[in-house]
Amino acid sequence: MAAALVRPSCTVTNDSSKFITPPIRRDGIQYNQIYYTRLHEMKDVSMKSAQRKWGSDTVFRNLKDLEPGLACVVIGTLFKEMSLRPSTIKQISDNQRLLPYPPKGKLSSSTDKIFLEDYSQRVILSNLSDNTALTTGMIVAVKGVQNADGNFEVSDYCLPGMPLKNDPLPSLNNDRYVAIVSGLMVGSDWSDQWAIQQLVDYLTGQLGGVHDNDMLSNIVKVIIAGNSIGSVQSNKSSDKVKYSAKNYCAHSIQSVEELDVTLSQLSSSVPVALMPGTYDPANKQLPQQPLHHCMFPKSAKYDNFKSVTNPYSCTIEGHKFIGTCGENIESMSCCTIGMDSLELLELTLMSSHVAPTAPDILCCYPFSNADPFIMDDCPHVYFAGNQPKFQSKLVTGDDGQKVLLICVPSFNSTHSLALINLRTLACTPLTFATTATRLIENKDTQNNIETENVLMTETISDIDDEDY
Amino acid sequence: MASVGKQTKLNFTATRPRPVIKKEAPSFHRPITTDQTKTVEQVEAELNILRQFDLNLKYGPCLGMSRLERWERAQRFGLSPPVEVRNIVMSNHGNTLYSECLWFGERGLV
Repeated sequence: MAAALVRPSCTVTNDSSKFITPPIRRDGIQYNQIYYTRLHEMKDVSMKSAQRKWGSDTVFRNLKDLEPGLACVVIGTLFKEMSLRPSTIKQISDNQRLLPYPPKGKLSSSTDKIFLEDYSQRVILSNLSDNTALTTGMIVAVKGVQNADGNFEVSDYCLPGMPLKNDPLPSLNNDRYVAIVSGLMVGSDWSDQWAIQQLVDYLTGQLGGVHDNDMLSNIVKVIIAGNSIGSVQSNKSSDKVKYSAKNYCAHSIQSVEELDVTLSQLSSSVPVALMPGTYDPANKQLPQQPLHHCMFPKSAKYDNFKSVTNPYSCTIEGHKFIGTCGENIESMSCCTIGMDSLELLELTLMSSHVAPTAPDILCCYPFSNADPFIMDDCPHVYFAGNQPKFQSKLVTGDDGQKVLLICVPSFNSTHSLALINLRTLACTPLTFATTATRLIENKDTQNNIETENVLMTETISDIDDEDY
Repeated sequence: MASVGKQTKLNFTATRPRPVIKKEAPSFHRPITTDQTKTVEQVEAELNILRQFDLNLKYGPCLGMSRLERWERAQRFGLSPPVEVRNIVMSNHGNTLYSECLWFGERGLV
């Protein structure tokens, strides 16, 4: 009998303490504080980026010091006025029932107006050629001239760029893998329990042949990026509700118990980090707080099991990871036209901010002292879960930063997860094909897995398991 | 003209004596001096300094934060907020008139 393979231990530090939020003050919620701190914290970075692009002799001005005819650069927060955006006042006047769901569908159209705001004023930006790639909340430096109308005619703009501080990639002697899976949707009407069980068995090394053992025994962390608990779709007619896309019932206790059993099997063998997602029973605002360990009595017994915040930031073997469960990308796609998930992820990286649309479109905690979504140091791996298909790209910055961008697909619809090799910083999708798979007819998801920029694709089928 | 006939006097007295509760005026209408050595003018001057700090846009919006938090944030950002603001707030610890912004407690604003 072959000796049991031992999974190597690895150093994992949780850097998400800035995402743990205290209770909200009783005297009300104010969001203007976040915008002030965001502008202040990112002003230096934007200035450096603008000087790099347009020369160190560029003239910077505040909005209150603008003179007509003077070509200068202004740094401020963007505000995009979208006519398609649902208005709460309109809803109240129509006497409709309001539910706190985020608006779905495209909000951006060709009639959008863009404003630039700084500490004291706002100004309309005209002549902005490409406003489809900009959203509210981004800090930009715009170069142009104030014209006679009082509008600012833009000749060029510049985002803060990738965060400058970048620790060098540690070199590893052996392959170390991290698996990221999202959208398990345990307990929902359309979840495939067989595929989830296959996933757990495969990651714990009970499935697969001898050729898989090398890879499987070197998986040092599994990150579950949200939407692990599925909801049951109710049949209530909800034609009055405008904000929600589907009408969901409360989560059943049974789904949580099923997830707990699944996670306990996984945690017995490999370190697991569970992030709450949009449809999980956690707070709706970003950053979502960790799911309480009393919900998972079986899994919480293992040291391997960690319940973490929604934007999750950690360092695994010296590699910096940061990622969300996809809400930031979804809200960005509502506010932009013609960009797919990977391009949006790159756009957030180039703005040095994980969720620029918070708190305008994306529900967010009213921070006042600091904006924790600002990326201070450059991550090595930046992921977003619950995307329609797998995509990955290695981006290099001007200062030699290397970031691996990953769009993790929703396991529920694609039965695949992302596997990252820390030694080579390459990412591959792993797909589980089961004979009991029902074809989920959803026009948003594709059945083919995106294979661009990927070294290899593995497909694991249950028919080939002879050892099982 | 004198009234003709007997007028019955209607008795409107309350069925039970109601206790009289003296309500304190809200604290932002009059300055509360815990320190007896200060005059009203001195207290008003201190509060004025604090209000000017609240309204100064350089340090950001004042609603939603306590004055000390806002002062410490301004300090961290390198804006050199006036030290006397911090001294006044710290010496009147626990008094919301000093520790919170001037719109604190106003109904309809928060």
